[in-house]
Amino acid sequence: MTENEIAAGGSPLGKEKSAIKINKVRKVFTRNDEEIEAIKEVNLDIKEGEFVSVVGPSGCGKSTFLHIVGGFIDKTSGEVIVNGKEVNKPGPDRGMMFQESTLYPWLKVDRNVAWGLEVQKLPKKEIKERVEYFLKLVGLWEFKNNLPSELSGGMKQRVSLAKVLAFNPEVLLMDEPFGALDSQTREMMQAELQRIWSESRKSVLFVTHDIEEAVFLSDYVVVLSKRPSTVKEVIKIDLPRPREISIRKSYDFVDYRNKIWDLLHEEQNVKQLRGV
Amino acid sequence: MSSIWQLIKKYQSLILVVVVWQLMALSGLFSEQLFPGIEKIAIVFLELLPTSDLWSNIGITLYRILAGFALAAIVGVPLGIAMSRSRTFDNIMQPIFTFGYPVPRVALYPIFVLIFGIGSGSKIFTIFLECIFPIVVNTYYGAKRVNILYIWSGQNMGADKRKLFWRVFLPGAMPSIFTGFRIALPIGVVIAVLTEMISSSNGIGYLLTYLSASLSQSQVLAVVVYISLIGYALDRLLLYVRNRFVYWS
Ligand SMILES: Nc1ncnc2c1ncn2[C@@H]1O[C@H](COP(=O)(O)OP(=O)(O)O)[C@@H](O)[C@H]1O
Ligand SMILES: [Mg+2]
Repeated sequence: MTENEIAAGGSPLGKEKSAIKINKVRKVFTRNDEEIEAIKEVNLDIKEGEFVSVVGPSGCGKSTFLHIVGGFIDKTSGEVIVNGKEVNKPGPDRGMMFQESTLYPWLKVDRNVAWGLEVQKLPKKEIKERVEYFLKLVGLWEFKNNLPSELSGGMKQRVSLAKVLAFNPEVLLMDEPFGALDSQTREMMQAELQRIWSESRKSVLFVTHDIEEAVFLSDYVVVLSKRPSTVKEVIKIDLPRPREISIRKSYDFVDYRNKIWDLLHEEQNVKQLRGV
Repeated sequence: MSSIWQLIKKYQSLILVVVVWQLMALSGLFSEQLFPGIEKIAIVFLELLPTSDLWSNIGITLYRILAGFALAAIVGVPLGIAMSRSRTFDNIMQPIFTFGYPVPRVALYPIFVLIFGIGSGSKIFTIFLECIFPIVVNTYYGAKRVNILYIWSGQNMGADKRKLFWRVFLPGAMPSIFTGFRIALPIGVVIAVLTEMISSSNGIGYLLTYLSASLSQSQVLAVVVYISLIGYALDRLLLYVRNRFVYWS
């Protein structure tokens, strides 16, 4: 049984439409004639409206994987199918939030959020409304006239979040979007993301190194092995929604957390031993 | 009061040079011809100030600097960008820049005089050749180092090649382009003065040679101060333009 069958089998209806289908994706980087196998083989099937998180040891290829799904880098082999179409190029159907800030340093915060909407030639009025709505949502409306260099790392991430949400893509790809936030802001943002997701029912592929974040937000948590990565396990998170912050204290939540923690530490121990 | 103090602190090294100079002049160890006191230089400086001789020569030199620099910018920036974006073009042009960079282009000046004559043409061309190197090289590396994530992010939102170029790539390379400009402009000043000193019938460099023939150091030094002020003013001007263009860094 392959991982995608596990994922599909775990889905309540079993035959829902796939939003993102990953078939045998492999990635080998070549640098100075040296080959680095980042991803050995990843299979996944994300149904429409599902929230799927990816966790794994650092350097195992999570960002690489998202960049492949986003179409930014070529895969060595395999297939990425988004909404029934194979993709090889970036496109506005998949909104990407990168691990590092990609806010343009020469544009003020509001112009950064508006950028993609202007490219898509949306009506001016709608752009204005969306920019205001999402900047207020992330609590940074009063910084609309600031340059990114005037914001902290966490604030930049919140603007990036506003930017990708305002862009309103069918599929959201997020690479450790809350990594630079303090724990309180992070929990607030997680709750907001959950709310937005449950209202819009977008498909989300979410990379994080924070196990609790993955459990709190996700329908499924994909645990990757160390590099070269494979899918080690896909865990269905059967917690009722909407999830309150206090769910973190529940027995089931802690159980999921511990299970994923164990899986990750198996990987990390092997890595540490090899490093010695 | 405190602002005067700050000014002194900011220019303390300059003040030190002036003070040491003055002490040397007062020590009487050197002939006054060779080591005129600051006040003597200042008097000549002020004497020159209202003369049309000075200003017409400054005007000519400025024209040469700006023309040579502008040409270098107009040719150099697109060249650097083209090299950064096309491997073939890069391969073709690269040897010129690796081998040509350490070559003193100004050494070819006598040839350019033969080709373009003793007027402004030969000087502008030499300035152009000296300025274009730092401009191309800085533009090239700046363009290469534009954060790939900025481009990806633009592609992600559906921007076409044209938009990516004008609205992402070019602003991303702009800081380095201006770094190139700021390296090139003082070189332009030096080359202008130098070529005018070698052969010319006008320009501030010519004035310098002309006055030095009179063996009066204070006159020469006063002109050197004028040249420094031109260089300083041009750099300030460029910095002002830069801060308008590259306001984010
Ligand atoms: N452009 C590249 N060239 C060569 N190796 C790369 C490149 N990008 C990433 N890698 C390597 O691939 C592996 C996975 O990187 P990454 O996807 O960033 O990991 P993660 O996001 O899980 O921390 C790392 O070993 C990294 O060094
Ligand atoms: Mg990463």
